[in-house]
Amino acid sequence: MNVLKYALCAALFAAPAHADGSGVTDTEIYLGAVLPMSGPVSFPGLGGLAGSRLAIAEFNAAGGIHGRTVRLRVEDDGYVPSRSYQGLVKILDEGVLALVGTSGAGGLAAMLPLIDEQQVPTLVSTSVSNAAVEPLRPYIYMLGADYEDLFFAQIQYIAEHDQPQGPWAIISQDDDYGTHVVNGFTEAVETLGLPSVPPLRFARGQRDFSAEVLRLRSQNIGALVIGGVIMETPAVLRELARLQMDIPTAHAHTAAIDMTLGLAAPFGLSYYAADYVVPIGSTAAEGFHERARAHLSEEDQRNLNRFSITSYLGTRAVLVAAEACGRALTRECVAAELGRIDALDTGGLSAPLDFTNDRHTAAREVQVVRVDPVANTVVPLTDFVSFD
Amino acid sequence: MRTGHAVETYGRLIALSTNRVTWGWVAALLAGLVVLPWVVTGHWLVMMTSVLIAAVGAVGLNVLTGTTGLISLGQSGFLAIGAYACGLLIRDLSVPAELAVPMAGLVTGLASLLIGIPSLRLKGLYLAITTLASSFIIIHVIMQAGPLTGGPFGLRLPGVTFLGLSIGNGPGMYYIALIVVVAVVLFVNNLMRSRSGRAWVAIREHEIAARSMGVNIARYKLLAFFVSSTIVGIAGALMALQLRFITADVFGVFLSIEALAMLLVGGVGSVAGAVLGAVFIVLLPELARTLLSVFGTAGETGSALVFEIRIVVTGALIILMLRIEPEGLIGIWRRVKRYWLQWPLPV
Repeated sequence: MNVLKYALCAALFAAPAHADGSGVTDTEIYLGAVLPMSGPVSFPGLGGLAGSRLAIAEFNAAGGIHGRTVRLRVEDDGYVPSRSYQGLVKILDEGVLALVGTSGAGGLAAMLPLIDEQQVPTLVSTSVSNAAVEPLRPYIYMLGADYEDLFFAQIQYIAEHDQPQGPWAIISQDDDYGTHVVNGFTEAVETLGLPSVPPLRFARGQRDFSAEVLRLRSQNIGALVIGGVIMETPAVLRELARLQMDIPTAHAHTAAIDMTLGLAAPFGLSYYAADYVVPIGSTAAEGFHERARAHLSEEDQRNLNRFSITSYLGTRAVLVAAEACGRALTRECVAAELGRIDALDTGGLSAPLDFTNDRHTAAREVQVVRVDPVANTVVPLTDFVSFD
Repeated sequence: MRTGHAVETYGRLIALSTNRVTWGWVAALLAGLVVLPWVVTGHWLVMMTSVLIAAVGAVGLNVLTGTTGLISLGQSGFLAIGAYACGLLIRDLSVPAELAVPMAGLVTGLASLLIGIPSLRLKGLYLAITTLASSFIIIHVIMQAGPLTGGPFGLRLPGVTFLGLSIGNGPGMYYIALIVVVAVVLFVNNLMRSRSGRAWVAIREHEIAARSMGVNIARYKLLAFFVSSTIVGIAGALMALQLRFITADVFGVFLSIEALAMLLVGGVGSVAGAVLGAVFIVLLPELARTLLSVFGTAGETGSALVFEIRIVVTGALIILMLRIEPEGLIGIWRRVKRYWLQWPLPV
């Protein structure tokens, strides 16, 4: 009797009944995102959320997808992979047609088994991760150039235009991201025949680079690749400025966001970065800002950054695929239509988006930019160039 | 109605419970937990699985910190050893998951002796810092041992089964965690009634007095390290099976602090308290989410506030518990139970 009694109690206190997993009703379509929106690494999540909201708002303003209003289910993972998994389970329970936000590389890796089980159409646009497209899955697509290409492009540009007098050096953090940067560096110096010194690695979270930069000065380096994310950029620049080492430096695209510019400004050094979308503050992004002013809240507009552009493009691609399916909207159809996207116009925000059955990564073309933290400017130096 | 508690033999004194009503409640709780997967959504099933895994870890930590009085901030490191050991045994040596989980616990227990031996002369804050440092070393070694551990790219565990149950997004993982938590709770509760359990309590209460009574301090401290870390390693192995992906990012320092918070909130030194603490701390975000939805702020970004609130609430609760209720949730439970049993003449 006790068992029955408690089973009944449990049933009464249980959560609401399971929703339709496809995320499609007669009047609404639900997309899903798991993003880092709390904690110290919340800027990609908050920026990405604003970008997805903008794409959805534009489609809804134009009448939705064949009369259905598009909505977004979002969960925060605080950049912790176990929470990414929990968040994904929750939004899949509630029902989503496709995923347009997949947190960082670790979070995505934790979510992949579940995405594979349910074969959820997924567009990875927040953080580039090889695990998403290797091996190719018919339902996962990705935007963005890999870090190898981002740094190859910069090294090639600097070698041609600055012609550094001295060997190339790299200082990179000891995680998956840092390993990709080192790979890009190694490939570039070998391919371009540039002299280099052995790579230096640092533990993620390191803030004092005085010893490393002193060592690099003793090696008379001519150019430096900095494989940090946010705080490491100003920390290394501070040491370079202190030792009056005015050499060209190459950085990740996160070195071109407002937060990094503000932190780097006191040291007065300009530097290079590369990205597969235009700088958020550039003239090429003016149209994007205009649309954001029309559709987003003031808070979302404040959160706009480069991740907003990547998420906007990713969400838009998913919605274009959904629109191509007509009223008979299924996950299988969306996944198939994503694979048929051909030269989707991005309004100049990136190279046009192309997916094929054999290539599930678009926007791989890279643009090198010059970042001046003092003037608070990010100026494109090249067009989007492919390094395939 | 029960009106008091008197036993005449030593055997009855150390029995887990002499009361049939208590066993009835335990059976009812277990029955409720068994039928849970049929009545909750997938999200709640995952949350409950996380609660059970956290409970295993908290009970393990309780052996070291609650029972023996050795404060450890290195639980994230031991969880990582358990998770990676389990992952490597399954992936590289094709060991069945049923064997890999206890073996991962054993590997963790043995590894903990490396930290336990130099820590024998330390206690309090010094031991806490030593164990914290050990967790940093463990994570660093994992990151550097790329060819073995996958380094920063982590390990994947696709297609794992356990006792024939598929470890996917279904009830399989939940039942595995439930079986393990029941086994661990029974094991530790029995251990507490043994010579070892009494020796650990004696060490916690007064080390010199324990030694004067013939307790081998070094041996029992090492045993506490081994037993505690073995259980924590099993919890780590379960985490690996649940996520089916292991990366060092999962095992941050906050995990160690959270584990200690589970003991403080639940009640230091009590197995039931450790379980209650795990339930409370893991489900705190859901509680925060519910509260936010009541106040109408849990929209699209509501979930972002949930974790921020959890960190603040966890900190506030630890302070409150230390100040107002040092015995934790289990202390409150005991008082309520005593009040009920002795009503209408509560003391």
